[in-house]
This record gives sequence, C-alpha cells and structure tokens, in this order.
Amino acid sequence: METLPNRRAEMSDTRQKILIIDDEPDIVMYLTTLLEDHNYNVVSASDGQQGLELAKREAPDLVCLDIMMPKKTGVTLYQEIKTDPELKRIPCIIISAYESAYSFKGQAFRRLVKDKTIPPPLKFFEKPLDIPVFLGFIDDYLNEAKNK
Amino acid sequence: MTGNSNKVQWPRKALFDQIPLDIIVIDQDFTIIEANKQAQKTHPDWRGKKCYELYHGRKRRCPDCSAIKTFEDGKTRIEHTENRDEQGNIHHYEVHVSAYRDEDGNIPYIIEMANDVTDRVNLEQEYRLLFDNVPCYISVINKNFEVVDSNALFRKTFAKEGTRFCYEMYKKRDKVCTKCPAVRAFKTGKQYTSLQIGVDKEGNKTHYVVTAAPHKKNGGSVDHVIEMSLDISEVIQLQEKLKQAEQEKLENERFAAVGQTVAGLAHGIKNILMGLEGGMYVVNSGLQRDNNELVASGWGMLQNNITKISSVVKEYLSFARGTEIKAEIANPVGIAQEVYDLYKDLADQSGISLVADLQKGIADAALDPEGIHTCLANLISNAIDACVVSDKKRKIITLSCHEKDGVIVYEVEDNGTGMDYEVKKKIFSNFFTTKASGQGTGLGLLVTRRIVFEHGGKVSFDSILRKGTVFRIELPRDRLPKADTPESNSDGNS
Repeated sequence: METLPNRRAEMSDTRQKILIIDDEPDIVMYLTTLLEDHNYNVVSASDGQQGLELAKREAPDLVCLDIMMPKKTGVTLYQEIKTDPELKRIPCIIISAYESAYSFKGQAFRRLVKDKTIPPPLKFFEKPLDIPVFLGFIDDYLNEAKNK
Repeated sequence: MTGNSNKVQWPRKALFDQIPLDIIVIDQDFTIIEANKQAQKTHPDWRGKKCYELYHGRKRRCPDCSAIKTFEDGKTRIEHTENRDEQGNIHHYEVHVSAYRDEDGNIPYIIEMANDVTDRVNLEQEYRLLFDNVPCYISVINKNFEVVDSNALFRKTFAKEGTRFCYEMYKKRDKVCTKCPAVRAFKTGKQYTSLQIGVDKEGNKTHYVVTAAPHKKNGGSVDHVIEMSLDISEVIQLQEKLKQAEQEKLENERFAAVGQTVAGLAHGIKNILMGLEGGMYVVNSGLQRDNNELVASGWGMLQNNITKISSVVKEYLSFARGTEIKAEIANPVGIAQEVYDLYKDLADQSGISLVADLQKGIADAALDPEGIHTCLANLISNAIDACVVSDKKRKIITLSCHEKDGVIVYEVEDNGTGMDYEVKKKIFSNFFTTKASGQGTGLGLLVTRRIVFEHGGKVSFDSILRKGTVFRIELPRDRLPKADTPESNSDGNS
C-alpha cells in the first residue's frame, strides 16, 4: 500500500510527522485516522522495505512499528534504522499483538536484536491499543521533543 | 602239540595282554588268578589278592557285586565302578562281568573286563553342568509331550510337583497348546522358534522365546524335541514401560499444542479486535469530519474484521475439535503422487516447476491417507507461496518420498524466500502467518504437525534466508498407528 492520501496536506505543514509501518491495512487506516485527528502528519508503509525508504525520505519525528510483517520483519527493520547514521536518532515505538508469553517486550526483544549496542525501543504497545495511554504517551513525548 | 596249535596259542596270549582293557580272572573265592598287562600296569601287586581287596581296599566282598550273581546264573553283566589310582585320581570304569564255563557247564571263573571311561564321564558331567546352569530353560520332551529330561533352571521355575507334561509345566494347561512349536518340530523334523507366554510355579506370567529342536536317534523319525527357552519378561516389561513413556510424551505434546492454540487464538482475536475498534473509530471520525469517504472506509474495516472473526472461529473450532486419524494400509508414495498431480498445474501457473522424487518399492504402511494428503498439500502450498514472493528466475519445489532404516520420510523443498530467525521461531504457533492479510489463517503447519504426531512421527525443517526451505515429515514404521483393516497375520515362527 502506498502512503495514504494526506487529507490535510498543506505546503506549510508544521505538524509533527509520524511514520506507521504495518502490513494490516486496517491498522494503518485506524492509526492514520486517529493520529490525524490528534493533529499529527501521518505517513504509512505496508512493509519494512517501503518503511525504510519512507523513513529516509520523510524524516519522521516518530516511527510506529509492527513486528510481524512479510519481506522484512519489524526486528530487522528496527536494527536497520538503529544502525543507519541518518536514521538512528528517530525514536521508535513497537506495536505488537504478542502477549507476555510470546513477548517481544524488553529482554525477549533485546535478545532478537543481535547487536547489543543497539538501544531498546522507546516503548512497547500491545494490540488492541489502549487509546488514551497510547495517545497520552505520544503527545507527551513529541511535545517534550518539540520544546527541547 | 602240533606246530599249528602253537601258532594259534601265541596271538591269543598277545591279544589278552595288548587289548586296551583291564582284564582279570577271579575264582570262586574272588582271588585274582590272572591279570593282563594292562591291568598289571595299575596294580602290579595283584598276585594272590582278592578283587575287593585290590580294587576297593575292602576286607569283605562288595555288596551288589555283579560277580556273585554271575557265578549263580552265568549271565553277563555290566557294572559301573570308580576307584582311585596311586596318584589319588578318581577313575571311572565300565566293567563287563562274564562267566567262564568248564566242560561240565560249571562256572569256576569270572572274567572281568574294565574299560576306563573317565574321559566320557567327565565330558558328561561338563555337559550336565552346562545344561543345568545355562541361563535358559531346557526341557526334552517325548512324543507324548512328557518331559523326560530338563535342566535345573527349568525345574526351579516351572516344574511343579506331580506334573509330567510340558504343557502342564510351561503353561499350567491340561492339554497340548495351540501353535506349539514342538508339535511342528515332531511333524516336519525342522526347527521352530516362537514367542510364548508361560506361567511359572508362583503363577507369574513369563514371556519367553522358545526354540524347538527335533532330535532323531539313528537318523530316523523324530523321537524327542529339545525345547530351549530364553526368558524375555524383563525385555517385555521395559518395552511396555517405553511404550507408556512415549504415550505420555505424546499426551504432553498434545497438551502443549492445546495451550499454544489458546494463546494463538488470543493473538488472532486481538488483531481482529483492534481492527473492529479501528473501524468504529474511523466511522465516528468520518461522521464528525462529515467525510463520507472516511465513513465508508471505517465501515469496510468493520465488515472485513467481522468476516475475519467468523472464519477464524470456524477454523479454530475444526482444529480444536480435531479429527481422529483413520489409519489404513496405504502406499506412502501413492499419496505423494496424488498431491503432486493435484499441485503440478497450480505451480506451473505461478511459474514454479514442481518436481517429484519418489523412491520406488516403498512398502505399504498404516497411514491416514487423507491426513498425510493434507500435510503434504499444506507444505506444498506454503512452498508455492514462498516461491511466489521470491524474485528468483528459476523457482523449483521438490516433493520427495523415501525410506531409510524403517523411517518413511517426506520432504518438500523450495528455493523460495527462506525464513529468518523470528519466523523460524514462530512457525508452529497457530495464527502466525507472514502471508498478506486474508491469505492465510496460520493453522496449516499446526494442523500438519498434529496429524504427523498422531502418526507417531515428527515434522522438522531447515531454512536459509533467501536460499529456501525444506520441510521434513519423518514417520518411523514401528510407531505408526494400527490399521483399521488388520494386516494378514504371521504366526511369528521362523
């Protein structure tokens, strides 16, 4: 899927930009609408390769990343973002349906990332999303980042 | 005396001295009056002595002396005696006691010819020792199935007092056993081996392998059968324990699969739930923005996820319910050939060459043909998907079936995308799928694994990212289920 048409696209868009990478079109649609409603500029990709290209082109303020995707998985993509000098400063949030038993959270996720110098993701969110907590976190984080 | 009679007397004297037997002649007082050279060798001081004195160191005649009886009736007798030589070694003798009659028919002398049978007796004792101490049961039975000889271990284990017949002893039966290897050995004169269950003196079940060997005296018909039985009760017990352990392992694996199924279902439902929540949100957002396009998108999301949940629930139910496999005698290669024929065209249409590598002459086995068909179809379908998304020019899938060391092996090999570590870790979790949304429920491999488990086998795979993947189903023949239609019975005799 290509990037969704940006319904509020203006040339002088001052909103912070969030990149959503998920192979589920429903999730992309949901998060795009949700974040746009909360005044963010949203771009999206449906697989890891496209996500990496968009990250380079769009220089987002935040990336929301799914773990299980065809072609390139979330973990691989995360590794590539974090080892790319251009991209490594972009904060990443992991959104996954895996519950604790199969968790990619914390240690389990860290074990999958073979290069131990790569920092852990900013935050893990479990599907289905707790919207107030999710939005609250993004708002707080990006607000703080803007004022730095 | 003529020269002729001299010539005749001479060799008789030599014969007397040189015959390899101890020969003595005694009179009615048991005094030795003549001894040949052979006899003199061991007892040079024989002259004038009584036989009981010389040979047995006694002062009176021996009780049960054969010579006394032969003096009375003139009949030849054979007696067995033993005595010590000068070095103190015991010698065994077989003594022929025969009468010398004079012209009037009286018996003035007895001739005793003793053959040293020490070697034979020792050999017999060795055989007896072996017979009694060999760690298996040995019994010799005659045509009436009476045990005429047996070793100590057999008597200790089976021979209750007052029993005579082999079937009484081995099995506590009152008539000849069915499928008795001895009956066959008597009839055909050949050797037979079979597995039997007996009952020992204490009433315990005893498993043994019996070899019934016919014995023909003088090369005629079989007059005895020697039964040699090896006790394998412990082996059978171990076998049963092992079987039980394997059964428990299978149960545990099933239990784990159920746990995974529940966890997998939760995972699948979470995704759908998020889709439903998203649909509601997008519809609401569209209404608020007065954006019909957005409302339609949200509505589409709701419809999509409701369809998804119903299909997941249906598949989940059919998986959870499971189906008992129905094993029948089928040809492993035949099943593979069917699946190949079914998928050949489909693969061609996707630009993939499906190749069959099927070993000839694999014997039939107890399999659930539909189940194995499902497994192979799942694997080939996965392989096709892996090839479709790969950018290789020449895409090949090989379906092979071969047998090695009693294990039937199916392999589906593709040169598609291969799998990375994360995918490898999760492939047997249900609802895990890397396929695009709506193209796979993620149950295929789990179903495959369950069917293979039910056959006592295992599923494994090797995969290299960008090189390809090979999935392997291994079915050891000795763990296959029993076929519903029984195989023709062999009676286990060699």
